[in-house]
Amino acid sequence: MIQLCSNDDPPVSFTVPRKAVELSKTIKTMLEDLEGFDMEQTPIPLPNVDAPTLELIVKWVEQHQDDPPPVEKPRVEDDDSDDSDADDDQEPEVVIPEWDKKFLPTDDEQKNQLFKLLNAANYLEIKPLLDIGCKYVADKISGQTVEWVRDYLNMENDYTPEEEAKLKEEIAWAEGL
Amino acid sequence: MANSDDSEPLRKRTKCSKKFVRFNLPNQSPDNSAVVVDDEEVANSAPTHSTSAPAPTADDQAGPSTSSPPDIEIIFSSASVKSVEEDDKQPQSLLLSKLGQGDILVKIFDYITSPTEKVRLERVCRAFRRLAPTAEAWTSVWGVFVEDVENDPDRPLLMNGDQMSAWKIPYAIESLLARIPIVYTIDVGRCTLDIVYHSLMASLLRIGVKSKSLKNVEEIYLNGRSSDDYIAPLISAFSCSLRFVDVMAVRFANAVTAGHFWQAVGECTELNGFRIETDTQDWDEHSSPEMVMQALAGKHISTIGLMGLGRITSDHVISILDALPADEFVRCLEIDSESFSLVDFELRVAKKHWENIYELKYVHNGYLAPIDPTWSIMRRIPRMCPNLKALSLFKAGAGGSKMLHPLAFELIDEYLTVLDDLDIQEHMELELDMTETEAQLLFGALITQRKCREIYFAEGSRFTGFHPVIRRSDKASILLAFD
Repeated sequence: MIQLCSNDDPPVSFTVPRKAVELSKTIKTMLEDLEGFDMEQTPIPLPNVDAPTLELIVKWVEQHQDDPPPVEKPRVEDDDSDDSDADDDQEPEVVIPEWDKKFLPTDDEQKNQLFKLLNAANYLEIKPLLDIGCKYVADKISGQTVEWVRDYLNMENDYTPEEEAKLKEEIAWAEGL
Repeated sequence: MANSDDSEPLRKRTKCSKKFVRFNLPNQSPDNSAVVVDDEEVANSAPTHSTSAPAPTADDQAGPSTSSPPDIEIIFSSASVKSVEEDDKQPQSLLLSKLGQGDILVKIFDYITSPTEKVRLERVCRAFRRLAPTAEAWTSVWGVFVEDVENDPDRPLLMNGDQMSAWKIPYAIESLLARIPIVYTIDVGRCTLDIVYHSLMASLLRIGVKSKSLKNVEEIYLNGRSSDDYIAPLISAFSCSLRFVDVMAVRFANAVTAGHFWQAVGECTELNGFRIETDTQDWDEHSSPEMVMQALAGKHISTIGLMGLGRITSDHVISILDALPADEFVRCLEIDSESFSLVDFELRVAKKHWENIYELKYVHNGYLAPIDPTWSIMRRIPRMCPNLKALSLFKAGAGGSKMLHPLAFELIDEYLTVLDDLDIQEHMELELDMTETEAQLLFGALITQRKCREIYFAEGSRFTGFHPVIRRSDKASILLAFD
């Protein structure tokens, strides 16, 4: 078992099976680098992850610890095979599993928790979690107005009126599909 | 604007040297309560920031431990992990925080399937304008695909899945070609509007066909119903990288245009796939089999489609196949009965091609009499070609003649038996052109015999109601196309 502790004051510690925690490439690499040390007695501080987010991370890795490892396909440009078919070269479409759909904090009032979770998944290099989270957000903002997207993602419109007018004209073709 | 309640920046990093609160997770402890750990326990377990060696413990003195070296302490130094405490300014969005540096936003953009949507979102803010067009946000887009949409006069085109009016096309093509990191495919084969070809040429001239994003165009699909002025130049522009050229509905205004076309094909030194389809007679007037053979000479063409080329004969097709090196074979062959027959395929084509071919499309033009030897060869194809994954036999039905029901049925029956015998896992398609009555009779018999595992219906088929009845497994399938 491995102990992870959050950045809270006081820190919150979670004890997680090693197999589960190794879904994080960041932690797995660290544990491999520290092979020979008794990591079970050494809490690992995660200075960029708060307790609620770490709790979500722990839940997710425990749920998925027995998943088969994701297959990493070679990049298309690295594939020299003559019979490569464009369809075969595509990344498989990310489908959010049912459990994960319920797991993700998707209510509007929880959106910042979702973003924190994505940041943590990115920091800890938990690719499958990052994938489904990004896919969820991509689906959520697709087809929405620019103003809605700004509001949802807490983005400020930092264009000057002139810049915005110019850009609007430049990509007018992409409006009103 | 940041939400003051929810968008609290990531909390300040805290040294792990104070009181810990440990949550016992459900599968680790019978009770799911939080446990407050006292300072003493923390002192024993938490990492410290000391660089001095710890005092030896009783265990250390007893001997070296395999799990913990005695003289080295693990230190999680503050420099080894970035702290958001170092951020002087609160990030306006968690997704743009110093942690992600926009990585997450780029990944989100990459998951947005509509290229138009990706471009439109650049209006959100400067960060979006900077991140959305990056190569990392466009990795899932590798080509430009434009096709006609017949049922909507206001939005006559479909570009990479997005419907749009024709006036938008020039801007859209240029925007996409400027953003896609590496263009592998240009597919306008199902588009007949001249403006698309004109825009494509104009964009290529502006961007430059030698640019990094365009130097790997491997596949091009063109349509001859548009102005043929653009066909040859487009092929020629990518002659260094093209591996596959597909030209539908090709027609040539005169012998000069035809000459330019075949010359452009001849320039494609890397070509290993070529498909052409014509539905007019003028190509015969302006092209000759010699032009075709000269263009394809010396190339290792393993994917061949020659449809509607009346003057191309079995000799020409076999000559193209013979040009393949000894260790190569035809992978896909698309041919019609005007140029080639299945009898020739069986008797004159080298066995290595049958044994390895994985896609065969044969269109029989005209009536296929019950005594025609083609029927028996059709029945043998799955055994002759064990690696076949897709087989299309267009117009092999009777075209309404009820006399051929038994033959069509026997054909399907034979195929299903072969699929069973060989335990073929791959998808196999058989396209038969038949009437509704014929299809109903066939389905009835197949369902009764419980041999049919899955039947796909051509799009728009009137027989979709059969689906739940005959879908049995995903091992193999038959595609039935209806008039």
